[in-house]
Amino acid sequence: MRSKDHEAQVIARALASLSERFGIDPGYFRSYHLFTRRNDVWCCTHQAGEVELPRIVRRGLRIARVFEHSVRPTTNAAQLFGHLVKRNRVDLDERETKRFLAGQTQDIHLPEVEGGECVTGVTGGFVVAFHKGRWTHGFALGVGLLKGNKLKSQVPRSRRVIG
Amino acid sequence: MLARFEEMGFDLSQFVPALLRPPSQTFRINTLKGSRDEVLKSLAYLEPEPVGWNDLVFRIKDRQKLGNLLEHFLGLIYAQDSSSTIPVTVLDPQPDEEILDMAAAPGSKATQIAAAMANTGLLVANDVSPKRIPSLTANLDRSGVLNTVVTRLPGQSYGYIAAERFDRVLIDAPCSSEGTLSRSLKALEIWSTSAIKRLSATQRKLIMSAYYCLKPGGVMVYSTCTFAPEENEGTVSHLLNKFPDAIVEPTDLEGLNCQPGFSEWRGEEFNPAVKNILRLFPHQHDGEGFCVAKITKPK
Repeated sequence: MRSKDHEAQVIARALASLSERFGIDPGYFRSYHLFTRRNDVWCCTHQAGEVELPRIVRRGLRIARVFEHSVRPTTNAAQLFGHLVKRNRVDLDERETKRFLAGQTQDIHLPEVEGGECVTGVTGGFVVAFHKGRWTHGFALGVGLLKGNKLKSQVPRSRRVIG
Repeated sequence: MLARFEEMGFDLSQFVPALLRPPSQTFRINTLKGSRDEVLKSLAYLEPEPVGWNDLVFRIKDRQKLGNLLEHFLGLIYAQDSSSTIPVTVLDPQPDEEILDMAAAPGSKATQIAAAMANTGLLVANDVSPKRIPSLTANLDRSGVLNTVVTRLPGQSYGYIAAERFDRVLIDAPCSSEGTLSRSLKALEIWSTSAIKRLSATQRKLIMSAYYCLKPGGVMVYSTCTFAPEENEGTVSHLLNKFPDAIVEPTDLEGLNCQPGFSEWRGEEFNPAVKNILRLFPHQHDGEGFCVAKITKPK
């Protein structure tokens, strides 16, 4: 069993990464209960975090996977907390969105490469992909891994939409 | 099965075609992920029409693969039969409460409860079947639910382990599923009078357990997707016989064409309070067959 210190370190790394890479204020999560299972960070309400019952399968939602050199937010977390993202946001058009939902890797055109107006700073690594579509502000689709102009969708197989 | 339907007083020439005809497709807007206006704006091309009794539930005219829509992927909508949205509408969950969904998989009602609670408080989503838990957790994930603990326990045990713990309890009981034949004929494979008897025995244990779980003043909704009186009025009557002070509340939902509970079945007189049970029949209501009882525990 891992110590409380280890759990606190994993959570701190995840929150620091969300803050540095995406501009998400760690204080936002104070109103939630965060905990770890292996190196994954989970989030739930305080009541859900504190309740004691037999045969608990899980509590709340997994929000991030903490690796040795990086932290990857989950698709579900990106969709739920996407409105908090200030940096490393990539907007996809209709066709790019379809490829992203199908789990594909694709070349994308970043605003700064096109010389257009760059709304957010985008650097290589994990990014949150958005689709503006018919909505005013757009919705977060999930997380992608950006290398140069190549965006690799991180949508899990079970969530992919083909066709 | 048909002989029993006739015995229940249905005109089979109207009832059977309606039972087998797929009802209009409906979806529920998940307010944990987006606002009602935003979702309606994006789905305006489907010409959604409100059902009336719940302002987040809409019918669409043309059949669509709702599961392939971007709005579904994003968790903005949940494809759910209109009847299936009624138990939680009647339960009326409130923010910061503690609520138990005793047979929660695959999660349509649990996600509806979580949305009504605005992701606050505690929702315990329980299901006894290990095979059904993955569909439950997948739907909780897609819907962005944070206030839920998933447990895998026989619902009967909750009465002992969480007595008088919950503000509200939903028991959408395992049943003979006669009301879902328009969706799938699978119910016919398991249907038999002995299955009804067996399910009814389980339901009686579940409804008792659910009642034990309720705080004084708490509200419980018991629902099934079947017509069998043994599984509906019979089960609720069983509870009322054990707890005569339990109150079966009348429910009045706008625009819903429903019928009261049966007063007797095959010579068995039910407790008179079961007339307040809400029954939905496919030849009168555009949705699957359903039965819903709202029960209050006195303070």
